[in-house]
Amino acid sequence: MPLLTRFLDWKRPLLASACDLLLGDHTGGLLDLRDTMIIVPTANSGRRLREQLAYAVAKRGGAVLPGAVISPHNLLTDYRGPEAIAGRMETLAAWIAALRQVDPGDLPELFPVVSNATTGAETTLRRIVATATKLQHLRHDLGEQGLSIATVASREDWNHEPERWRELSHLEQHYLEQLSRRGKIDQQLAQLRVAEQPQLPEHIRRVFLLAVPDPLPLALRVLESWSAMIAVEVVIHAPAELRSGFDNWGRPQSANWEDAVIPLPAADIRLADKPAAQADQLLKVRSQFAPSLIDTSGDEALLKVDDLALGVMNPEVIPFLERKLAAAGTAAWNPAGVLCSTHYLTRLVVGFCDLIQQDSYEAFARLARRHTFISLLKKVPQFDSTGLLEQLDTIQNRYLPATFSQLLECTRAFHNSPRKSEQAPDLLAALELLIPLLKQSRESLPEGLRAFLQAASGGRQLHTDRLEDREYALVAEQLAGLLISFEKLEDNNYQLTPGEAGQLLLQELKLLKYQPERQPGCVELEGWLELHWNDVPCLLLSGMNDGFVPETVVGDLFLPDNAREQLGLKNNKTRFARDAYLLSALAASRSGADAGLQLLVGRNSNRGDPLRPSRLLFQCPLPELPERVEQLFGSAFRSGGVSQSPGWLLKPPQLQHGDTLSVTAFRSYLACPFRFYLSRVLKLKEVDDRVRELSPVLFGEMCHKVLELFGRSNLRDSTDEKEIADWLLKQAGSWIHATCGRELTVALQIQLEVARRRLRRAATVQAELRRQGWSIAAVEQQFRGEQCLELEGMQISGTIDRIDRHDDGRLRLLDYKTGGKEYRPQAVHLGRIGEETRPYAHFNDGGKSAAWRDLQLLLYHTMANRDEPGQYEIGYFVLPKTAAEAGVYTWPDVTPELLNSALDCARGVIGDIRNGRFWPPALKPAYDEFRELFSSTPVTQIDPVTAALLSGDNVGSV
Amino acid sequence: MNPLPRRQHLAIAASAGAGKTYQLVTRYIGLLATGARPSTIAALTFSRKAAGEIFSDIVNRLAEAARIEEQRIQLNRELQIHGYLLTGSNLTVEQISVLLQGIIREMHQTRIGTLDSFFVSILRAFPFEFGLGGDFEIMSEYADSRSRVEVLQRILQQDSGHRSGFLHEQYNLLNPGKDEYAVHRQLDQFTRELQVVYQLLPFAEAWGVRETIWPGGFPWISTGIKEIKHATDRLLQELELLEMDDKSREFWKEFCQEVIEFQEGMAYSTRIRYFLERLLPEIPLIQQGGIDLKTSRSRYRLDKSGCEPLLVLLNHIGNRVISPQLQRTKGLHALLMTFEQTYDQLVRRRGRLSFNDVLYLLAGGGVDEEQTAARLDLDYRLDASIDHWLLDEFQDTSSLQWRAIANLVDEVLQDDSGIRSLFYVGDTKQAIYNWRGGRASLFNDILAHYNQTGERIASQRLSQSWRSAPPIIAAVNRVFGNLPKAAGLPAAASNRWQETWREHTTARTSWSGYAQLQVVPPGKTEPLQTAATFLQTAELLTELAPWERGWSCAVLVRKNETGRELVDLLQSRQIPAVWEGELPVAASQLVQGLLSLVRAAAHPGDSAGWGYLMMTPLALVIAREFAGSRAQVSESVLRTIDRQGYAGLVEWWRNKLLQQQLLPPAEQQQALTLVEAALEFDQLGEGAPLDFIEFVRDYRKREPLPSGIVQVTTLHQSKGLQYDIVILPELHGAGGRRTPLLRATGQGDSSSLDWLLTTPQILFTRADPVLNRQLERQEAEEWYERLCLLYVGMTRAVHGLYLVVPERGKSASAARLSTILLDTLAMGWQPDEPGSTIAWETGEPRWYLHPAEEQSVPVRPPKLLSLQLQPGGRRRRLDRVTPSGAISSEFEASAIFSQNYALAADYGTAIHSLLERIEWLDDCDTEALLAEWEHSTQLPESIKIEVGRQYRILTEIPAVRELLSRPAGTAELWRERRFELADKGEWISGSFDRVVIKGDTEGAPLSATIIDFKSSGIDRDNYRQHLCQTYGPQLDIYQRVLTNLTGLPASSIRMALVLTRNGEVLEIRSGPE
Ligand code: SF4
Repeated sequence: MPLLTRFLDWKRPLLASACDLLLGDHTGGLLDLRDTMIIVPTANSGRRLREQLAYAVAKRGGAVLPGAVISPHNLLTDYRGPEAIAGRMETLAAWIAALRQVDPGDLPELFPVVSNATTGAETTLRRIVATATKLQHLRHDLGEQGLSIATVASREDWNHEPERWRELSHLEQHYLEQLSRRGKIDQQLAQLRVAEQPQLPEHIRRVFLLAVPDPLPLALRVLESWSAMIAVEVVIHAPAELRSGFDNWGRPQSANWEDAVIPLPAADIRLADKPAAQADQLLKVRSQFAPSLIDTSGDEALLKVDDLALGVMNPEVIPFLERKLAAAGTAAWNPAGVLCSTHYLTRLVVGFCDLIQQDSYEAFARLARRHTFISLLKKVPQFDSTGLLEQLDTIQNRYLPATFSQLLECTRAFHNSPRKSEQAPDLLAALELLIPLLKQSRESLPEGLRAFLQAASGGRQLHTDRLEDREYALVAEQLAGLLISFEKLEDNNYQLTPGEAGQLLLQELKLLKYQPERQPGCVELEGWLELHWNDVPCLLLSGMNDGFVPETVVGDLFLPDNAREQLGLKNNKTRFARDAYLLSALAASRSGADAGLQLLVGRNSNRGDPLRPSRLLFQCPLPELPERVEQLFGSAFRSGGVSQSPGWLLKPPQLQHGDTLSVTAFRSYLACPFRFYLSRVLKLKEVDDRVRELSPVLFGEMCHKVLELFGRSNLRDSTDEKEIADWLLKQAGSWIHATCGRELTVALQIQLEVARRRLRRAATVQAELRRQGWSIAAVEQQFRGEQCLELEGMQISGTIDRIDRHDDGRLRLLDYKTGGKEYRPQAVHLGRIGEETRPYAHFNDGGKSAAWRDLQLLLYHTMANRDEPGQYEIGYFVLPKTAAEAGVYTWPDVTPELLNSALDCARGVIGDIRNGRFWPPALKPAYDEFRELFSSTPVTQIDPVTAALLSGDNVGSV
Repeated sequence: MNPLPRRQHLAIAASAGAGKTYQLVTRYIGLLATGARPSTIAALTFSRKAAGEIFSDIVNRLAEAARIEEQRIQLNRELQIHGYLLTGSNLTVEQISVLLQGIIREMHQTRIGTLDSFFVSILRAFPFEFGLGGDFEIMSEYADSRSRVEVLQRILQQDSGHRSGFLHEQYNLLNPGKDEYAVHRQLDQFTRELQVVYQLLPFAEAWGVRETIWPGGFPWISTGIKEIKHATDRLLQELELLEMDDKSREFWKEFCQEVIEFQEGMAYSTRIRYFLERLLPEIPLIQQGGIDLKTSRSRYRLDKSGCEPLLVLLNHIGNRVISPQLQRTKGLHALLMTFEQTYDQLVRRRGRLSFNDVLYLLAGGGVDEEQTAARLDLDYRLDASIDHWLLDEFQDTSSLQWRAIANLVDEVLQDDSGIRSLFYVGDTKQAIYNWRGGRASLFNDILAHYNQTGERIASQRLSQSWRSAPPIIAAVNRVFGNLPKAAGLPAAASNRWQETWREHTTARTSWSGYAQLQVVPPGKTEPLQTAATFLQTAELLTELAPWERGWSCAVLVRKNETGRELVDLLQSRQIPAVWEGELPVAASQLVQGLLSLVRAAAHPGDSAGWGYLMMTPLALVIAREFAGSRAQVSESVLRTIDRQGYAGLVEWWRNKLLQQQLLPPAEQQQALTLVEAALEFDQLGEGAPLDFIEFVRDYRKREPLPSGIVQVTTLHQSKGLQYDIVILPELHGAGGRRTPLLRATGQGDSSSLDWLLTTPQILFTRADPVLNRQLERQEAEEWYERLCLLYVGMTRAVHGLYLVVPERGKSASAARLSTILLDTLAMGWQPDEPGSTIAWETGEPRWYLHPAEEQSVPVRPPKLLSLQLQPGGRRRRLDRVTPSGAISSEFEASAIFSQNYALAADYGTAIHSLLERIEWLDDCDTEALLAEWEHSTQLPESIKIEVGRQYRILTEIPAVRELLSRPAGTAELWRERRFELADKGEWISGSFDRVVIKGDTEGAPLSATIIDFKSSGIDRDNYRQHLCQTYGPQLDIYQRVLTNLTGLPASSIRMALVLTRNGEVLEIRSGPE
């Protein structure tokens, strides 16, 4: 029988006409379509058709006994040969095996660059998997037309890089052999076999190819052969006058559609900037249709939500749209499915796989901050999740572990330490949960994963009545399915390395999709091909940009467009024709007074790449083209300005400083009173686990500690610099190992080395000091409690690093200094006067004015010389970056004026602190630990009333 | 149309505001007009924005020409001038429309874009040729930065013995004599700055190798400490013979002693410095053996016998100064090599590339030399042969970029058919990307190269501005026309500038404007000077008040840090100013608050995050929703992040704030922006809380600024933009660090090899002829670039230009841009009276009082749809119902992951497919049926056997037999019958396992039985009740459907479950229990 062609006029939406066609002269009762096969473009269009049929028949008081409603590729699934069909993962494994079988050097045209020695095994692996994926896609693309690499390569008219194709075909042979050795064929081959010997299903007496503008070519072979036996009818949604625009299978012919005029009124096309703005605009237009989104029953609205459908052509818009819809209380439904990787269960699995592959501290820390993971530990008695996170930071900061096993080691060490404050039960529980699972995974990845998933879902009851649980189950089933195909891969002995297997698994995991249920009242986010099957009167299409509609491919490493054209594969021309037709059909079916079509064009991508309007929008009569161009490319486009109204104003709590102050506090207050308030009064401190090496503070602490020990040791009177150096170096090593564990990262090793060099210099200085007659009299001399200096009722405490006594009786206070640019005590303590310098911080020294920046040494001076004035000198013992700068830097002439001025300044600071004067902040402090929190000056961010309080102005009233 | 015989190769040097892009667009249209297809024209530029504009400019020009006669005449005239049209022949409306249609139709094949994207498309087509595995992704800036951290971490964390030792070495070499302990920061800085340098010249021979740098022999040989001591003795002996004062003698003794003690990495002592400053510039004389000296108050001459030992000493110090730099340079090379290799493995070869990586691979990085673009069959794999090259902003093209396209362009230039062409346009006066690899000299090098034997490439100059008012142009002419008058400017830089300089003119002769040079009191140090010029800027702005008058205004600075400070200063003076025209999202207190929330949740020990949080209104939400409990907040935040992503988290808190009316309008906007940022971050699929915070901190939203907001930005960023008012307050800086690296590379000087060396101490660099030549060369280049920066800054102004510089200090120090301005604009100016601060001005000082032109284009009001719908004519979408969806049950989630789960499903499918085959059990041949089933079913053998076994047992059980056998009377049997039914707003679709309908003799139905097979669920105690509950709703739906299909009342429909595991038949009663 020849193919029958039928035209359904496009003045009505396709769905209504298609339904009428199938209803025929049905008047009521059961509509029996069991002998009818209906081929539609996508699964979702089939769903629509069935629903519409059910509705139409029900109106006549009946129901439908449906036949097969399928999409074209379903015609090719009925493979009954002896071989099993390999899944996506297995074909990838076969390609990998094939690639490993051949020496890339033997395929010089395909792989002109053979990886050189610098690339490691890991890299080679990635490349093999990436190449395999490319080849898999190539076979898939060719398969649509029933082609293989070999059939292309052997074509006589094939002159595109023929040598390279011969090599490709050689690889393909290996690939197919890998499969056939295991009794498998791939989907392409299976489909081809079906197409070559198509079986007509029992009971089917007629077939409709219903408005499928680009059917899978191979599927048409099946229909071709069936048409000899039964009626095959091609239904085209277009007026019959346009017959010449289509071929026998209802495919728009590019020659006819290139020049087609698509009537689109200018007013129906709008522009919006980035995807976020597009989503906004989309919803704005939508809300014009349905003023009362919540109350859809309201009669005032001419249109209801159900009268309008959204089409989203640019996938970047979808997340924004979903989020905004959700914010408005509406669910979105994407017929194309949802990536499993967006679900927390999958994320947990990915996190676990990351941990297996990377074995890093970071991978564990990421996992540990996942709520789903934390929930697993709820079973542990007295488990405290906050405790877990705190312990993690503490241990990271202290030991700087790089790997999971290092973390485990130091957590155990920490936990077993005698000090009661050092306990990490929650962290330990988390680690112990993972240990067996990791071990199992290293032995067998699928087994380990299965165990992990069971642990991860353990104890959770799913109820089919709960939406969240149903979704969980859908995702879980996908994951379980993936696991099974993964296990089968192992059974089939592809001899993948653990690396390859892991890589493959992660890759598949990322592609895995599930189809969530369609919620009543949801908004469907339909793709381009689906829209044709929507019968609502109003369509709102976003993402009408070139590249999305029509989709285009420019350049490819195997199949560029001209090759596609030559092979009869889908190409830019056929896509354009198809999409020009589809848009025409949409426009025509919405041209009535009671319908509408709105198009939204994006200006930019998320990343800021300019987008161009779809070429389809310019299919207007030539004289109208200039105006259309100006509309869509013109500059009359602006997004809204920035609002200048004030934002939140911060209200820091009002707290009083206590009655003790450390000598180091003065520097901090003098630098910026407000930051002082934050750090020393409110005690704000950033804590995280991104410490990679010793911080300046810790580095200083190491040097201090080692020198302190030296000052207490028997060697302290040695003049042998080598002996001293050896001792100091050994101590530094012990300190760092005691702190960070036995294995040091390279960064720590370097830091240790750096510290050792500085200590070696300190040894030289120390030996010289001793030779000069100085010996260490005390170390870590504390001025606390009773020894504190009391100023204005404030207890000032401090610890002097060391006190040296000269053989002649002189005494000297020394502070170790490891950082900073200045070493001379004067330069550290006094600086330039600035606008913000408070009067009490001024110092006048014989005409020269300076401002106090630090008071530390002078306060020590005062404390130490309380009993016997002038007894002690002061200075720094400097362990600097450069050798030449090492040494002791004393402050030679500490005059009474100097001391008095310093004490006045201290009193001034204390007075301010007492009066609660922590405002205004310095505009540009030398060091700002709160830079991240106040990205611009705090002045504009603090609530004026609070600021006034912080200025201490009305202290009387407090 | 008139296809012309030849298309000319053309280079256009255009000044600022002269319309470079306009020329390029004209050329493009010209090519179209002479029949070139869009797919054959590559028009490439640097920024994505510029690329987007080129395309829209082309089509808009054509569209306007088609619509407006004036524009058409203009276009035709220009096409004629450039020879794309024969004189007198004009394009008609029709012809122009056809051209327009042509380019629109081939829009997808046009090659108008950035150089970067062009390179990406090549690499995508040839991954194997460049050593990649397959497809790759281009990293975002965020990802790029993270990957560098990852690489460093990998280098610094692995401890595999040899590597760590190796790194120690390299690290020490990096900082000779300096023990820096911030390892990560140090290495990050080095690798960021120098990776590209390494890529251009990866060979160890080039890095700090004596023989390469000094092919004539290393001049700074040290002969060992014995010899040095000997030389000092000889020198002092010689000096004994000379007449000089005691002080001088003392100086020499100290010098000799200090030379003996001098070590690598040591700073010069006072005495060494004293003599080096005197002696090093005179080395040639010392070498010749005679030098006149003056120390203290004595003058004397040192002859040959004194010069010889002196030279030994100088060489010794030189050796101690230069050797560490040689070592250091080698160390850098080794470090960069390690970094590069690790980066290659960890990032590049995994298919994650930055644009620089793409370029690096294309330009031959990492693969053999012969792998050049020339070998690639672009025509095939890119679907196009490129006949025409149009290159914009050519002065910014880098060596690597040129290397990547040179072969392709060369092909065009060697082609004598006259069909193919090259066109490039640029302004070497705006070459401000030298530091990033831009090579302005390419502009002329290419001309020189191809025009050796006659003019192959024509060149043209444009120096009329379409942007600036006359006073601005006057200022530009005065500064750049008078460069030779600027003191301290290296002659090489000045000369190079003179070569390309042409007096500017402006087409905007009627526009009002003003330019001035304002001087503030001198400051001792650069920061003090900056403070003064910034204060002056604030005052200037207060007076101009562009925000009140609607002028656009920019303050252009040199450094990011100072720019931020300036913004702070301006804001604290109530001047509306923003940094870079991009609003950092994190500047909002709401955003900071929510980030602090994330921090505090993920890091409970972080008191800063929590503390900040409590200063914001979020504290109220926390008090109300979580009773102030930190643990509860943490739990909730982490849970929301896990379930709904960061976007969901932000949305949740936004809603709470909205509900409690805690969001002022400004923060509402910020909250939405944060949602967007969070969505983008969620798409990356990574998601550690600190990563999110980092991401948001770097997230900037570029919004068109409301006119009048003062934009503070860097000179570099301002390129290509224009403002009504431009203020330049930071021209006094020394211009960054001293040349840190001597790079004698790519100078086209074939006699010498390429080399690199970290710059040794300046006295010796100057004293060494080789190093000095290189240093001078680089200094001249740096000066040239600095002048370009000044030029770019000045030419951004449309109406008002304000140059604010500090007064010249008393001690004449090195030249600065500020002193150049003083020398060229206001030579010899002195403040006549204290307080006079304007050193030079021109134009109308009060120009800004004129109202700004209305700039905004009226926005088309969006049109509302007005449809005439028949009310009530529409139906709602039906809610879909499936019987299987109605099953109500509860089960262990972990069961899904048990081995049995899949087996059970397989088993269920198998037994169903088997039972489906039974017509009437009483006349069925069990074994035949089984055989047929086994043959046509693809299932594992084990399942087939088990299912077969069960089947045999099942079909022997009387209750089952009864149910599946033919009943008495007439009966119709449905097996696996599917149905679709619309009923009460629902769409029910599904299929029955088995239905038996008994009818009367007429065939009218009397009663029916619905049979459903269940293969699971007998593993618990009260399974019967459980199964009824579970499957009741499903069977209710079946019943409802069957009622509908047959018209039978529910009471006549029997429902039965067949439990295949134990052969039990369960009768289900209809309706809810
Ligand atoms: S023997 Fe049984 S299974 Fe075979 S056709 Fe007859 S009823 Fe069906």
